[in-house]
Amino acid sequence: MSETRFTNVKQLPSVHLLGSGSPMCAGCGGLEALHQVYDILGTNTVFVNAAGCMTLLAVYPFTPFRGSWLYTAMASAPAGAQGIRDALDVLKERRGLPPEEDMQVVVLTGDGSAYGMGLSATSGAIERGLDFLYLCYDNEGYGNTGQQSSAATPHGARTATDLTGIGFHGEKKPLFDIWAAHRPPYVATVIGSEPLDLARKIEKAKAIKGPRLIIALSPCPTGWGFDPQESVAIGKLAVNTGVWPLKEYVDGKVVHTKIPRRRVPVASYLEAQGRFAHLFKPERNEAVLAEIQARVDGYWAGVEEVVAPPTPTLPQGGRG
Amino acid sequence: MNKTKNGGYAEAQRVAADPKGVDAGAHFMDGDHAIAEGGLAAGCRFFAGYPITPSTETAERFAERAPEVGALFIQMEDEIASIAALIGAAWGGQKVMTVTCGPGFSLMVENLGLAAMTETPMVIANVQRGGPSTGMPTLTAQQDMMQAKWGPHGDNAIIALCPDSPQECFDLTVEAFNLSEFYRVPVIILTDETVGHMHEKVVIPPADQIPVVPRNNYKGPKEDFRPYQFDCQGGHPMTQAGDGYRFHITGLTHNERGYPAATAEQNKILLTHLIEKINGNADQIIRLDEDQIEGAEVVVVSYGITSRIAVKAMQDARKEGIKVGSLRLITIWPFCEKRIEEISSQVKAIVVAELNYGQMVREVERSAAGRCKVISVNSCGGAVHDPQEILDAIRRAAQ
Repeated sequence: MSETRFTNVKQLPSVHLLGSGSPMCAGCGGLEALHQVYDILGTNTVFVNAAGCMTLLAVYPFTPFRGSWLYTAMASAPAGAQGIRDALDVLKERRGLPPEEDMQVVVLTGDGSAYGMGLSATSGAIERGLDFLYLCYDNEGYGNTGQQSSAATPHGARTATDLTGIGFHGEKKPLFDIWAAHRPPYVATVIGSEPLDLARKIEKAKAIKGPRLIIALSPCPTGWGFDPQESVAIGKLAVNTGVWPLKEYVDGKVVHTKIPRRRVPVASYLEAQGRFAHLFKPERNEAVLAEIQARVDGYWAGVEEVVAPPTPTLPQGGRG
Repeated sequence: MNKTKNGGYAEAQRVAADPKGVDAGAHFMDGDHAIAEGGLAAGCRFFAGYPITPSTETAERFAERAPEVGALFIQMEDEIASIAALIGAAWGGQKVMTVTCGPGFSLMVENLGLAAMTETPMVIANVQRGGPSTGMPTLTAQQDMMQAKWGPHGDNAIIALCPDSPQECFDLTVEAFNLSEFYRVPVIILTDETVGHMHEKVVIPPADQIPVVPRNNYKGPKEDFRPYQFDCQGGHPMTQAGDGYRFHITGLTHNERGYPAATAEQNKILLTHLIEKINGNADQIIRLDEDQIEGAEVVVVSYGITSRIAVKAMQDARKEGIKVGSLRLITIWPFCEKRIEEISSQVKAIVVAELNYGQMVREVERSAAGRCKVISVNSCGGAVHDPQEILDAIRRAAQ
């Protein structure tokens, strides 16, 4: 990332654009990420939102944005973005809108829309090469209606619709891979607790034309069950345990921007959250914990195989 | 002409509910939860849904109870998928239900039409909130009354019921399943946010006191099997995947074997059947709650939460010496046009109170056909009426 103007945290913007006092929950990891993303994108940004927690940011006078906002039906935000982008292009071409007054069109949805019912509209927008940025704040459930399971919910998490047994039986949908399979110019994962990594990625995305898609894992005190002051710590654990890989897809390649060489055991991330408490009390569910750990290990084994120099020896077995 | 097989809905075969799904006893529960309990008691063992305020609690209740009852709860990616899963599961042999509200119901309507077309039994609860669009997710309304009937494109007929209490949420959900199974038609519970979130005493009877209409599965020879019977207005059997019968389910205009037959002649036969099996049996389907209509000069027509507000207005009007009666619509669709016709020839005026800009009042006006005044007490939703508004209308009506 030699092209970045951000080489250390001190270089990140110190004046923030997003207003304070919004109706979001205290410690919202999604707001933390949005805050940082908005600082990099700047005021010439129009947000296109689909129903979710951040729809609450539209409630006047608690609107923290400096610019405009369009709400769409839950499945349609990227299609709404198409209309805005086209209108801006018409203004540029026919009415002489100066380039400095052009806007970044940013789709802002939660995982419910991004991983689920909005995926078809996203696929269509990428296929059309729409010049937009998608920011998904992923809190791994339908937070706005009380944290029911979504397609982003991780295996073993208890949600309002998975209250029994081990919790959610499914696996978190690989949205990064699904988006990347469309071959857009840029896809990245970020998290608010890694602000430098986030800033560099948004800086890069801002300079690219076409579909650019960002997933921000968003620790959610209300839905995940932890004290709001732990939000950053939970986010750091998500990265350091390897649960949330920080990576980007650019020029047809996936590059990991932070590889936790000594990964913290996944149990320390899970144990810090109420939604996984049933895996620890009244007794540790070693089988499920081992299963989750193995899946994380397996992921990183694949990554390490990719980045490791070629070797004449056979690949080692049993690495996950 | 009664073409109903098995003697009509009143005489339809009923069996005791499966005790596994019946949480018998007195509960303090909200309407949303009572809908889930009604479904489980009626034998529903498949729920596919998607969270949306103010209906989510029904899905959560069903999800929590499903493992102990042996039912399946699936959270789908949206409401289109939810109702599509119901169609599949119904033809897989299950009694099925979902719950939603306005925006979700809007997404369901194409498949609702398919369910009506394919005569697939299912129960859909719409816990109405203020609209249009996203509207007021946490505030009450009765704005989807017409959408329930006219949402899907093309002519069709459905049944819709409207509870006014958590107890009725339970009772009418059981009833909805019974009607749905007998007439093989989607039945919609048109409740509202206030009733959905209102906690009251709900008494769930023991299983042997809950009569349920069981799925009528065809058992006859394969060569005689027809998934549809257009000369039959109720009680016609289905089959389920895996039973060995060949069937073809399509949204195209079809013949009794289920195969496409898109001709004007066939469409007349099919459409007449779909509509007449409901409208032609309206007398058997419709349930009304009447009070002091005999000798009344004014009758208040209301439904759902609004009917409970109207009670206060009617009490006050009677204190003033106005003879006022009440007609509470329990069945919304098919509409009770005959009863309105009778009442309209006996009273000075009918007052229609509802939490919308004037929807069911159009049905009342159509049925009254100018025989009496019809006064609308409408509201844009977001809150229930002030009883004074209804009282003022009753006073105007009595003049």
